[in-house]
This record gives sequence, C-alpha cells and structure tokens, in this order.
Amino acid sequence: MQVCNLFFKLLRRNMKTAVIFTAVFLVIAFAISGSSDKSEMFKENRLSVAVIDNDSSEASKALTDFIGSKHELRDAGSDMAEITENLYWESVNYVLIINEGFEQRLTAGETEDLFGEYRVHDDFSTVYMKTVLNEYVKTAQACLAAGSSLTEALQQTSEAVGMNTEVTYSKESSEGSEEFSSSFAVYFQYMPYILISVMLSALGVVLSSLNKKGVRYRTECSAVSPRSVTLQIFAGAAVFVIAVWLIYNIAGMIMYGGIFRGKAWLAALNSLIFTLVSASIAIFVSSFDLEDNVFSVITQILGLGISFLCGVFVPLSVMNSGVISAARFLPAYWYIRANDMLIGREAFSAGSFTGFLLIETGFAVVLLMLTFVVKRSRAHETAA
Amino acid sequence: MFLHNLKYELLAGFRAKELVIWLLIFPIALAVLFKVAFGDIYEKYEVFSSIPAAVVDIDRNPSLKSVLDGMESSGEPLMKVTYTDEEGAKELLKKDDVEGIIYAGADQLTLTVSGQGMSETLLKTFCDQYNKNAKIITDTAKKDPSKIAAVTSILMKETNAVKDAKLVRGNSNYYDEYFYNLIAMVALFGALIGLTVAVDNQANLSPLGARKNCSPTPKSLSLAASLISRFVLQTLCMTISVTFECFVLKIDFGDRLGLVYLAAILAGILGVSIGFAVGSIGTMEAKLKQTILTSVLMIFCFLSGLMDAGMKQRIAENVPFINRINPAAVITDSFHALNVYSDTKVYTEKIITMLIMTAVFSMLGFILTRRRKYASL
Repeated sequence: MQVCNLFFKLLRRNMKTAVIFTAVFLVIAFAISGSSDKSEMFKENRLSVAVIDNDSSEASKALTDFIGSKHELRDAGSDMAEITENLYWESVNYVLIINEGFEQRLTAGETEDLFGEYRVHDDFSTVYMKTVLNEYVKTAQACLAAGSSLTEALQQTSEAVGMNTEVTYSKESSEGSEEFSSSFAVYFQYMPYILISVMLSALGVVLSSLNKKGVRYRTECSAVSPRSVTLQIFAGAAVFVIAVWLIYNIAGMIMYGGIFRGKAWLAALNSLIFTLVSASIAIFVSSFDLEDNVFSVITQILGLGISFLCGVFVPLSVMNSGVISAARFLPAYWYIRANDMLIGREAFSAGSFTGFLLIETGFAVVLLMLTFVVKRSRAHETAA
Repeated sequence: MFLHNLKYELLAGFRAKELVIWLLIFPIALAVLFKVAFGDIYEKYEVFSSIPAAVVDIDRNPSLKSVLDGMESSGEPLMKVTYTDEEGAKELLKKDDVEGIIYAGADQLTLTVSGQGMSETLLKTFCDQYNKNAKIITDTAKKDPSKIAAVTSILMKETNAVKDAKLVRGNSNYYDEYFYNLIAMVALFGALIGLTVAVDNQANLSPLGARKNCSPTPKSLSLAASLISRFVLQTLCMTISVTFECFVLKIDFGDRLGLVYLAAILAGILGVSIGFAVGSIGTMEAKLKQTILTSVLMIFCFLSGLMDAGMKQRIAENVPFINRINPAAVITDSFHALNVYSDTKVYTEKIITMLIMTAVFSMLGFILTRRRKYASL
C-alpha cells in the first residue's frame, strides 16, 4: 500500500488548483442555471432606443410614446463620444432623431428622410427599427388618406402598428425536454473543460511526479514489484476519477432538484465516459518527463484548446466548417454531439448516441495504448 | 560597463523559458482559440442577413406570394423563404434550418417560432405588418370604398423614412475587443519579467542579487541595464503578438497600424515598469510577489473585458474612474480608440496616461531599490 499512500499524499498536496477549478465551475454553473428563461410564451425582443425629438409636435410625441410602449427608452448620452460608446457596446441599440418639420412633412405625404439615426452596427436591431419606422409612416399616411384627422390617424396608427400576430412558441427544436432542459444541459456542456483541467492539474501532476526520472529509478530498484506499483497507482487513480465524477454528478443532482430522470441519466453516462477520457489524457501527458512550467502551460492549452475547438464554450453551429472538421479528431467533439442530441439540437437516435459514446471510449483506449508505448520506450531508455 | 551588463541581461532573458512560454506561446495559443471561437460570431449572429423562414399554404394566399416575390427581388430581402407543407416546415424548424413558420392559409397570417431572438421578432413584425395592412384595406373598404386605391398605393409604396448615418467607419466587431484584451494581457504579463529586475538586484531576495551587490558596478548602472534589457525583450514580444494577430489571424486593427504598434510597445514597457515597482516593495519572497502580481494583473484584465468583453462598458457606466486607472483598460482603450474614432484625441489621452504610469512605476522602483544597504544576509 506504500505506493497508493504516496499517491494520495501527493494528490492532497496538488489538490489546490483542482479545488479552485471546481469551486469556480460550480458557482458559475449554479448562477447560469438559476438565470435561465423558463418562459413558455413567445416574447418580442425589447430594444434600448434613444429618441432625440427635434420636432416636439403632436406627431413626434405620439411616435415617441409608441416606441416607448414596445421598447425601453434610454438617454443616448451627452456627447458624440458617449453616444458612440453606448451604441458600440449595445447599451443603446438605436438612436432615432426625429427631424424638425416631421409632422408637417408627414401630413404632406412626404416619406423620404423624415428621421435621422445614429448606429454603429449593421445588425438586426437597425433593420427592425427601420422597418417599424417606415411602416409607421406609411400607416399614418394611409389613415390620413382614408379621411381621418391627424389625432385620429396617429391613434389608429399606434393601434394598427402595435397589432399582434398569433404566435405559437414551439420549444421542440433546441430547448430540450422537461427531464433534460437546455438550461440544465449547460452544466454538462461545460463539463469537458473542467474535467480535463482537474484531471491534468491533479491526477496529471501526481503521475508526472511519480514518473520523474529520479523517482522512477528509485521505485524500479525497490523491493516492490513493478506490477504491484502499477496496480496501486491504478487503484489510486481509479478512486480519484470515480470521486471526481461523483462530485460533479451529485452537484448536478442538487442543481437538477433531485435524482436524474430519463435523458439526464444518459448525460451522466456521457460525462462518466468523458471523465475516463480526461483521465487518459492526463495519464498520457504525464508519461512524458515534463518540467512543471511546461506541464502547467500544457494543462491550460489542452483544457482551453479542446473546449474552444469542440463547441464547449461556443456552440458548434457558430463555428466554421473547417474547425468542425478538425474537431472530429478530438473526443470532446463527440461528447458535445451526444449532449446536443440529448437537448434536441440533433434528432435523438439511440444508435448514434451509443456510437458517440463508443468513439469517446475509443479515444480513451488509444490514449492509454499510446501511454503504454511511451512508457515502453522510456523503459528501454532506462535499461540502456 | 553598461553595454556589457546590457548584453548579458539580454542573453539571459532570451534563454529564460518562462519568457517564451508565458509571453509568446500562451498568448498566441489563446489568440488562435479566440479566433476559432469568436471568429464568425459577429458576422453570423450580429450582422443582419436574410432570415430563413418556411411558408405553409401559400397557394391559398396569392397576395402574400406577390409581396414575398417583390421582397425577394430587393438587394438583401428581410426573409429567405422556403415554400413547403406543414410537416416539411416543422422538420425544417426542428433542424434549425428556418427561424419560423408562417401559416398563410387562414384570414390572418400566424407564426410558429422556436426561439426568442431578433430574427423571430422581425418575422413577427412582418406578419404584424401584413395583417395590419389587410385590416386597414378592409376597414377602408367598409368605410369609404372610393379611397381604397389611395390607401393601398400608400401602403405598398417603397419608403425610406430614415436617413442612414453609421457612426463608426472602422471595424465595429466588438468581439475583436477580446484580441485587444489579449494584447493588454501580454503587455501586463511583462510585469513578470519586470519583477525579476528588482529580485535580481536586491541582495535579500536572490543569490544573484547578493552577488551583484558585492560587485563594484554602480547599482544604478546595473539596474538601468536590467530594466532596459526587459524593455527590449518585452518590445520584441509585443511586436510579435501584434504581428501575429494582425497578419496571421487577420484581426482588424484599423488602418493606422503604426499607432497600434506604438501603443502595444508602450503598453509592454508599462507592464515591465509595474513589475519593477512591485518587485521593489518590501522584502516578501519573490514567488509570493509573483503570485500576488499575477492575481492583480488578472483582475485588471478581467475588469477590462478579457473574460467578458462587455465588462469595461458596464464599469464605464457605473464606476468610470476605474477604467481611467486600470492599466489593462487604458491599453485596450487605445486600440479601441484607433478603431472607433477618426481623430486621435482619445488615443493620445490613453498614450499619455500610459507614459505617466510608466514614469511613476519606474521612479517608484528606482527610489525603493537605490541606496539600500544590508547589515547581514
């Protein structure tokens, strides 16, 4: 048991980083899952709009009130620099300038350049505001043409433009199911990053210490057989890996509000397999005799790299096809595909889901075989 | 003597693995990852493009078909329409191939969506307008049929009520702020090599410092050589970082690249001087100073938007003073100003702030390390 005891002694010494990673991850995960929108109804987006009224007429006030009824009216800022910053960072989505003479030109039937604008982005908000303003002008003029007075026309316009189409909100596509909602799925989506980081910064560092040339030479010439050393390290690592998986899944259940149901269990199974993959990555990296500094950079680059490339931080749908093609050669990609399938971003198929899990397992097996090859070649080095 | 010291300080610097790892490899790897993750988001999600939508039962609504045909002939139409049956439309919505389904069969258009973003809001606005126009024409027909022609022609008229005025002529992709923040991080991580200037010259902090203090070289000369060598090394790192982001990752820094390099180099020198000043304070162990320094620098970077690009603006709205004294925010603001504003007023302000900060930290470092004597070590 000496080697096993040493394993846990080293693990205790190197747990600080893993504990910090875990604490930050759990705090963020709880915050994210608490803030998810569980609305069952479709809600129109409310924009932050600033209105600069240079006309101060009945028509301009009616338009401002109409915009205020659908969106949040905000102050644009006191100078151009402030307006630019507010628009750039989208604190304000759109600045509308109602030009002087708006009412007069509206009643005269003019439609061109009644308004000015300040904008920074060519985004959906700008297109939306332009569409609504053009429609407002046309409707007001149609009401005037139909014989209404200005006051009546403005009132009719506000009612007509504010008319609501019947909207059915189908949450089928990518909102998950009751037993595995998309807000809860975020917890499992971020798990690859934390698992790789924790495995490398704790298990990897411990194994790396045990693999250091001096330590390895001393162990090899000790009375304990190499088989026993390997078994004891394996037992220690297995306990650690299972403990990490249990901690994250118990925390997941607390967030879930009870024992997992249905697809949530499949997500837990997916995470178990990825925990093994992460452990095999840590075992593989630690088989090289790396300096501490290099090891910590590799930990950061592998954790962040795999996560960024495989859709952990940013959805796969946003990434370009070249990156996705490259990501296929990484295990986290298949983990995310399986998780996406459980949420409903991809049609669920038991066969494909099992296939994804088998590919992940395949990565773990290949990494362990590579570790074996590296260890063999280093054993020859020792013999030589 | 100064040049001799400078030569060996530079040689030692080039051979330090930490420099290559933390000031070159790590930021370059992070920049590549940022590019992979954020490279297409702005174009895909922020910049307007025609919204894919499915239309069901179009045969029962020829007037909608003519409106949609008219729309499709414009430069960038509001919608990219697929005509299909209900089952096909649902399948497209499920696969996220369309943002919504417009049902044209009933008296009024109805809509089915699966999300709550701006695309869905715009689809609803289109349906609202169509239903509203139909209602106005019906109401007019009931009230005064003679005015139908006039009303219809106004409602169908091509209108351009808003005069276009885009404020930023440069790059308005705010995801690029992550890359500006990365350069700020590299600049401030220069503090880690600045810290070694103080540690390597203080006899109570390192054996090298003890040996240097015993040597006949004047301390001011040895310190100046160390500091200038770090400035040179950091300038090299900053130049490589900006060149990599600009020419390999093709990040848009605007068309005043010379000023971008100037800001980056001054930022790097500021980072080194911060490290020099912090290293000179007190007699704490070098490792502890390094940990504290790294933590504080990461907080600076967090506040300027390295982890969340919008953070700096939230601080600007609530506690603007912090952005004025946070070195990371000052550095990113200088790149931001070159991108957003056509004049160099804000940029000049930020460069002057960086120069003042560099002078203050360097002076502080010199004042704290000069004329220090040791009774015993």
